[in-house]
Amino acid sequence: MPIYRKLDTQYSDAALVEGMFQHNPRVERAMYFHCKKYFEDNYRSVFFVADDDRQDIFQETFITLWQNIQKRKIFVECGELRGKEGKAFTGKLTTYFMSIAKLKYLEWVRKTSFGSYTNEDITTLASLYKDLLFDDSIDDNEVKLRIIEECISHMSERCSQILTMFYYEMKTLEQIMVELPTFISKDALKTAKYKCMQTLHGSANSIYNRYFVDV
Amino acid sequence: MKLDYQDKIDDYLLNRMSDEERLAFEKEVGENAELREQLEYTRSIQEAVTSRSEMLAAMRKWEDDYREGSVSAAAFPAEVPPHPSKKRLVYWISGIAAVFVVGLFFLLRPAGSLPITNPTPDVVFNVFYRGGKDYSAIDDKLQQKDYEEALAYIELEADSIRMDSMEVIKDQTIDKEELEYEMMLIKERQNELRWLKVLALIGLNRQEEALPLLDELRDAECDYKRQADSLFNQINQR
Repeated sequence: MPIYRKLDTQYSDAALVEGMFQHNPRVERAMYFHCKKYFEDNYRSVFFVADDDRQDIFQETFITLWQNIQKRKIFVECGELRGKEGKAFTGKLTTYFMSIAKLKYLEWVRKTSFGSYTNEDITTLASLYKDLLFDDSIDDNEVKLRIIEECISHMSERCSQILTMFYYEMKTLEQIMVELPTFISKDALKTAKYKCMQTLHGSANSIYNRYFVDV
Repeated sequence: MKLDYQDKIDDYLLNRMSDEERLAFEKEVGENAELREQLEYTRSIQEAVTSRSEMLAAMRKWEDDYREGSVSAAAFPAEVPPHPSKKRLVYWISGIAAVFVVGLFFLLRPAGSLPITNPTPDVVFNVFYRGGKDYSAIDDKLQQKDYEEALAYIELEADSIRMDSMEVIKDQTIDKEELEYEMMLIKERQNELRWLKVLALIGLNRQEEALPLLDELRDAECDYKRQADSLFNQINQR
């Protein structure tokens, strides 16, 4: 039995969301294992993937849930969980979590099969994007920012490494070259970083145009 | 996007500019819309990468902690009521219901009979154990009458609770009220564990060891107070 199965929590949904918003480390951890247990028990009814991919989908789903809480996309008011347009949640937090997981799964399908969505998938994805990640009330710039956050999770491993080392770990190009010896010159690394950013920019615009202009 | 702009933007965002350079750059940003847009885009990437990396690091730590066993299941309070007043209401309703059930029991029972004539753990478990918390592994062992194993699990959980209470006490980020609340939850878990230990000890015919635990439980403000009192008296009468 995986150890996290012992770590399920009976925090109320509202307590979990509020605790995460307040950056309570104990609640953040409890939420993680609460979602993990539910995901493991229920993902088969939503999709079927290999173990490694399943873990990636879970991780990406949890990050999006976390971001949605931090950005008050879902929040607690008068002890009640609220979501889009401030309306009270009708379902459970785990149901919401699995809806995000479905979105992540469809993204994973696109990533691994180069866009072979069915028409039904496209409709589902468009609807999920609008319902779960974005809000009609936020402006275009905020939507674009959220899309960038979303696209970062789909970057190539190499781009992810470069941008993480550069912007998060604040390493210089010289330091990154030591860790990524395939780059033989500083200019090559600088160009690679720039291309990663350009690709990200292109992907973000493509999603924006596809789901927020075309649909 | 222009590659030429990127070096300056990065130096600005990563604080690698002198004061004069910063001022000059900010002036340039004010005058150049394209540069401004690229700065905002890069800032978005920086924020997103940082936030994502911090979240991934936290998740890795949680997984590692559990793999190493340095944090226990008891780190998670079993139940957090949405609001204290609601909990009080639940206590009141439970209290009234308990009085009603006890009254009914005394009215209907044959004269002279005791609630449990033979306090074996499975009988006590089925009649009294409330369940619903996260000691499912111990519950399973008790149901399977594997009392030695149940006791071993209980000892592990007791250690976990001790570690957890230390963690709560040392936690500088929580205020006094939250600390009291966390400690109350820990106490609830301790009492539940005591009750499970009583069941395991009775299963092993170690009633003498169960008695002090029952004595503590009947004095505590907990879900098992009444049951502990009843069982304590029965064992003492034997």
